[in-house]
Amino acid sequence: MQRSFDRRNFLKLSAAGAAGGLLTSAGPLRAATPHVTSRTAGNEIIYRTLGKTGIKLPLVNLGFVRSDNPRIVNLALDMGMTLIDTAHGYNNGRNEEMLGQVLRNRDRDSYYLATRLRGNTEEQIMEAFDTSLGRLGLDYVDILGLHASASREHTLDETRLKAFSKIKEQGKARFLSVSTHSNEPEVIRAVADSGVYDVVFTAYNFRMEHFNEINEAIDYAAAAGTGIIAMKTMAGAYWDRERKDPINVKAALKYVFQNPNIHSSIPGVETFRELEENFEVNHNIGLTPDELRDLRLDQADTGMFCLGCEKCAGQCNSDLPVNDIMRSYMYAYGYRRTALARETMDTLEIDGDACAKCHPCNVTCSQGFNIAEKIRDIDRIRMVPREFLTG
Amino acid sequence: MQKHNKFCTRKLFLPGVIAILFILSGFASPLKAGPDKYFPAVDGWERQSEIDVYTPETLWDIINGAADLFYAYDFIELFWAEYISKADESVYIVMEIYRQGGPVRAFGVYSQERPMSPELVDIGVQGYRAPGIMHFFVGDCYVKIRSHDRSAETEQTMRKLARHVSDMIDPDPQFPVIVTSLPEEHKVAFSDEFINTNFLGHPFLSRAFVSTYERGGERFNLFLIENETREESEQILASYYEFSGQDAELQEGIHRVEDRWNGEVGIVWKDNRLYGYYNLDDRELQEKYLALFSGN
Repeated sequence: MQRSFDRRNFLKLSAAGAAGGLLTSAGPLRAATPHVTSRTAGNEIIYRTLGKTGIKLPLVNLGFVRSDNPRIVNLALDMGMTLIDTAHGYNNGRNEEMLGQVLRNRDRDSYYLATRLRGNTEEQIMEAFDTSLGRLGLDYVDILGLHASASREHTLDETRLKAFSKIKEQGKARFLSVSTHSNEPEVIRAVADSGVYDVVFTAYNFRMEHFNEINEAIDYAAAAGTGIIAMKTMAGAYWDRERKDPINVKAALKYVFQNPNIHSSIPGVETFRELEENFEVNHNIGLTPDELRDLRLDQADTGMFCLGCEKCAGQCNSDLPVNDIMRSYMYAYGYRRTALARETMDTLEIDGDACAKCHPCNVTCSQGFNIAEKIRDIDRIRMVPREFLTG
Repeated sequence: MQKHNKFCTRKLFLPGVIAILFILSGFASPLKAGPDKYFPAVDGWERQSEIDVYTPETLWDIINGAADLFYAYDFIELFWAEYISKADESVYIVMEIYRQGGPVRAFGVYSQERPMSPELVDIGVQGYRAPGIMHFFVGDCYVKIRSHDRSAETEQTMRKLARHVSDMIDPDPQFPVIVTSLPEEHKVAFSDEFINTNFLGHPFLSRAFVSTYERGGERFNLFLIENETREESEQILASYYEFSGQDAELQEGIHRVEDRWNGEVGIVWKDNRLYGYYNLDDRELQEKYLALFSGN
């Protein structure tokens, strides 16, 4: 397994497991309230709301596209992606110019444009931003970002905060953001604390060594209303430095959205095929057994990962939302996110006795899970004091 | 100063690694004089003592997502150094020398960043300036010099550095012949590009020289893909037909591929070369270029 869990979280999880083991499985189970969609019928797109901005975005949108192929951008918009991401410095400005040519033929209300820039002084920021607006041929951008922050100090620098706020007050940017791919947890928390920035673009993928720490920061920011957009979701696209052993990038992308606080993503695209594959994730974020294997998470038992196929939905004689309970199980045992698992269980408001009284279990899982056993295991989490839970 | 943060941090952790990488890579570099020689001392400016060297394994650490562009053009190494003004320590110039996999690749990556209407400077094979920027390509290198300072004095220093590097790498720089192989008539100025991978958004199309043309207010593109062998050309064409679903006979001559993403792509296969057009609806012009490429 590529990810590592830090000692503190491991101990917390162990404590949760031990405490759970001492408890009986009985708990008050009531009605179901599913709140995360993992699959849509037909061609519907899964949307999530970008924090307090209120913008509803497809899970997968469009990151960097080379300037020589504007048709990819056009196709992405035609397919239903709505957020187009660029940066002042991409291709030395050519990228914004290319997008400007594509977007001038589009209804301004049909897409969201995000760009970001660097700058040490108000003058530099203003000059760069005006240049970007000119290249894009727009009166305003939807999300303007501070590019590549790596510290709280940089993120909360007064000069930058003032300059960005001024642009927003002038109506030239609807929302403000920060992007980060280094020291992410610190930057994410700073964004949430800033009172100025609305969105954070963060590196986020299954191979990050400080995955738990980032998740905690994301939860903190999401609770504060910060919109969260994942970058570098493909984890480098290759397992090896020689770039000969490719990662299953579709699986990597799906994995990102197992965290309900990741509101959207902006993978870069070079080919039409990549675009089509990425877009498929907008319909289904359930991971198949093969995809899980491809992510090489097998040191953590893949039997912990619900595929999100939802074939179990509606099967239970006691009307338990088995698919949602299995998702909670996956959070706890697959992703080691016990706090999220507990939160999910609390949201479901189910009656645990209903499962205990019913024997034998009539639910059939496509992955062969022993549903009754897993419900018994995960239900224990509600008896664990919250201070023992993490992630 | 914020601009120093990233590099200061690295300097704490990486000097040993960089030194080793430099030792390993520097001797094999065609920058035979060693990177130090390309970063001269300049009166009134303090150059950092060690030149930073980045390899394919570490490029991403320094320029993040922008690294993908350089990888796509067979990036070999980057030499990086900063000059600080002795008169005002807040004023800096950064010079980056990217060594790519040959002169055509250097042109390719340069062409991806060149603005549509560049203000040319007579440095390298081709170069341009913009406020705070001077970029050019020469030999197998793409050189980028930048500063946040817009003063004439700083720009003068940037020019001196550019001239020095260009002359050191190649005192008589010329365009690679293949870059100028497409017709000149109706060509849009500065629209020549070299696309090393995923040309037209297809993984089976690569190493394409492409230019934009304008006639009667309509813009279209001509391209040339030069392969190592005739068989390679045949394989590419076979892949393209497989994608389009057309049943076509694979023989040298004229082909029209119905590309569902890019529209009709006209191709003339001649030995190891594939010439073609796209974004071109005018039938008369199509025939003209197909005949031209066929040598008729």
